[in-house]
Amino acid sequence: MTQDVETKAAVEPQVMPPCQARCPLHQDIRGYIALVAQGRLDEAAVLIRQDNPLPSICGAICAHPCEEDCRRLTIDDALSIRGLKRYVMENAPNPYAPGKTAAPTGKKVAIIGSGPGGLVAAHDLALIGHSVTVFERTDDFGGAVRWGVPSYRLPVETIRNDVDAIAAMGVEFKTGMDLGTNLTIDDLEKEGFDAIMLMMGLSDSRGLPITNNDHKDVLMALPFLAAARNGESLIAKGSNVVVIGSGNVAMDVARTAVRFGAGKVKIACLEKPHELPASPWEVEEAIEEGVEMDFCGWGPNAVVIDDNDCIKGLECRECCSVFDDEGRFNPTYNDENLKVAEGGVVIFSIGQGSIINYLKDMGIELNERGLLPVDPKTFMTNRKGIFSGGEIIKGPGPAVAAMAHARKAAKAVDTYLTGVEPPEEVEPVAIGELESTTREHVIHQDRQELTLMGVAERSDNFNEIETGFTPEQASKEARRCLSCGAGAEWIRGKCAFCLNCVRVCPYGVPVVTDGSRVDIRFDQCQGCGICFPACPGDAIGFRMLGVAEIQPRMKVALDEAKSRNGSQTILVVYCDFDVYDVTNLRETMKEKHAGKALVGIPCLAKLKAIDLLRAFEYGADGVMVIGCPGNNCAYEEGEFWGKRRVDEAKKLLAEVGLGAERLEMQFVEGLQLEQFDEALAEFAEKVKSL
Amino acid sequence: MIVAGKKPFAEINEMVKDHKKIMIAGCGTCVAVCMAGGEKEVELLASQLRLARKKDGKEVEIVEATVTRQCDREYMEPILDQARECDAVISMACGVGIQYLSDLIEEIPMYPGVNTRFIGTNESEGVWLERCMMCGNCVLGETGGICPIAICAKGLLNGPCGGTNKGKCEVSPDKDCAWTLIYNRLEKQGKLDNIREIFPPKKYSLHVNPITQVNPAYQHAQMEEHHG
Repeated sequence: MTQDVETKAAVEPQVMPPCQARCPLHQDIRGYIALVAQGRLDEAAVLIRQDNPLPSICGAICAHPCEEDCRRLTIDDALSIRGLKRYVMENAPNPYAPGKTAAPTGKKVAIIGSGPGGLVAAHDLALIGHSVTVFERTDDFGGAVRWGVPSYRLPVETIRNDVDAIAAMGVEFKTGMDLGTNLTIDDLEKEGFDAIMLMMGLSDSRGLPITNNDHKDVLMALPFLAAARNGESLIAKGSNVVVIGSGNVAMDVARTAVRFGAGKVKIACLEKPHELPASPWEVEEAIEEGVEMDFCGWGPNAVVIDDNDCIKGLECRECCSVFDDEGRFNPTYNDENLKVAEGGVVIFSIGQGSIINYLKDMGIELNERGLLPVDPKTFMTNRKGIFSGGEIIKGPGPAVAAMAHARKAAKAVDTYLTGVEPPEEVEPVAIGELESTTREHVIHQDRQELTLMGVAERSDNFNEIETGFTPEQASKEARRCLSCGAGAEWIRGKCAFCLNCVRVCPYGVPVVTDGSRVDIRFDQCQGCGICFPACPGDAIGFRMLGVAEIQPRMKVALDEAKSRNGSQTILVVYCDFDVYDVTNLRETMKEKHAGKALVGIPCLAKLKAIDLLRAFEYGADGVMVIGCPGNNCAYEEGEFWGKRRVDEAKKLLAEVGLGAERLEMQFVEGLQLEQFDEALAEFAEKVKSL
Repeated sequence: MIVAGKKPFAEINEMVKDHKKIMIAGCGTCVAVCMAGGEKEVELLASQLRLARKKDGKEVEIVEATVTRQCDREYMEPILDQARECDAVISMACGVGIQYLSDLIEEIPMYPGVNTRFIGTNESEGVWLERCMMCGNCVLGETGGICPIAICAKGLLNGPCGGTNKGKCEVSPDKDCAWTLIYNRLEKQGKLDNIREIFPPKKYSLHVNPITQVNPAYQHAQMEEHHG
């Protein structure tokens, strides 16, 4: 009978896995990774796109702060979360299945700028029924990721996939519309836009006031990168290049110069090589491609010019420290120690700003530093109905942070348009750390790395350098996820306090508390599921996707199989963690085993005897359970307990007189298709003879 | 805790063969803990019955209902109407719960789904040991906390008998000799002299079935006075 269900999750709704809490968009990473582990890629794509309107772009270039907080880091290495997102978007049969948009509100919103922030705002507002038009000043969409990120990291087609999906929601996109040149706020208001969002981002490179900075061969990062996107090189082949800057953009500039056939490419910056703010992998890949770092720790002093008005190099002075004691940017130099980084071209890549003085002529106030202020709650500028968000407001950072900021701004715009206040947002809290007693039981599994093209192969062209995971890699990587907080769920009203969970858990997660009660510590649970069928009171639920709904999934699969072949129906239950390529497995089933049903479960330890009996109730003539051999199991003792549950069900079947041999368990490593195919055919013959 | 074991399915199936709408009533306390009659076992038995009937081409409708305890009226009341709509009830509770449920729905045939066996302790996952025979006259204070009635195969109050063999019982080499256990425990407690004392024959008159026990604070006369 129905009893009260009280769960930890209900008490602490804001506790998230660390990856999700850290992601500026708070994406349900754990959820989509579980779906990847189960080969349910279309569903994974839906879950990804629920929180992230630019999944392909992020799959290619996201700075993935989520990975920095992955609890797997305390065991071996973080999950490749970006790699798995990329895998889903590249491999799901229908990654951009259109979702539902709300009924039209009749409100029109203009978005100026189609960078990550503008695209997210457009998506979010269109989703809730507003009519959105995006105005882009260039001839293509994507803003900073379209023009500021090189093709070898992010091909144009990848950007188009995301933009097309937003356009398919009904968002109108216009190119060649430049605010302040051929477009004004007044024009837009006259056209009937109810709200206008200024989402121009930071599209202007900054330079430094040093001698000869106006030389024709002193270039700026963004125009250099934008030209490269169009296949145009702003440097002569063979010229030596000095790139001033230490962030990811500086690495992009240096590596782009390498690809255009530059001679030597040097990075000159205040930070020492180990202090560079650029992502470590960007620095590493740049060094592999021949970019020199010997001027890291040297501050630019002057561009040195020879008698022929050609640049000889960049004179630098030794930088002693970058930040003062209070952590503020306040570099100190040793002016006695000067040296010249030789090169004929100098490229400034020290950061971006936004030149937006033209806004003043449109009645929009800027502050004394020339920045655009907005109300922190309403995101509105001083001019009514004109909003802003993204990097132009929050400052530079990774794309995903701009996207999250734009999302908040879009919510504020919706509030302005509809008068409906959104529910108050509470910052989520990351689930606690794994205790050493739990950690010591977690089986080590190497992180799968995305494949990078060899240096020789990649350094003279703009082909994409990274290759996504193979199905096997993706499965292996996805199953490394510790499913933080998505494991067992104690249902207080049904618990008989028998302590069986305490006794069977290999990780010591359920404990007897001070009040002689039981606590299945959800922050420590590894999601192995051994306790789930072991509970005699059905007082343990399971949060992991694919577990609770195993019986309905069996029924659907069996009904489908029966409709294809009425004579005999076999159900195959396989361990999701054993199979590397579900798509291939499904194909094999379709081709060779048309009358058979197929259902996966994330580790057979979660299988209950009742699940197997139900399969027979749903009309299965035989059930074959395929598990991974013991040493392959993702969990301690998972295979042992899975086998026990099958044995239990066999006994029950024999008692009924249906025959224990209608249920069989086999272990096939990595679910080798050939071996599986043979075993299944043999089993089907045996069942036929019964 | 009361320990019960599931009845063989064939026996249950035979008992209820003529009924078409059957309630399986689970109990969420002792029998759930000993994995004989909680919600999980109710599900399994229900499934087995449906499968067996399907195999024989017969129909059956099963109603599953598990309550916190079948030995308390208040927990059972919510399922009684449902039970009355069935031809029969299989109670998965201990013998106490089965009888009590039957008292509440006398007109409905009641069948036991379990065999009630003993009161005991949970040694490890899935393993229970008998520890008490409910004799009504406890001697554990004299026997080092080990019951000679329950643990000794012969229930000897003064032991060991001649069948003790290196700490094991002549009845089975798998069974410990209770009186050897008692001797060793008393030695640890420095109370070996206890063993010299001869227990008089047990007052079995204390155990005349069925026993009724009333807490002094709840004597009938007082309660009647209270409720007017």
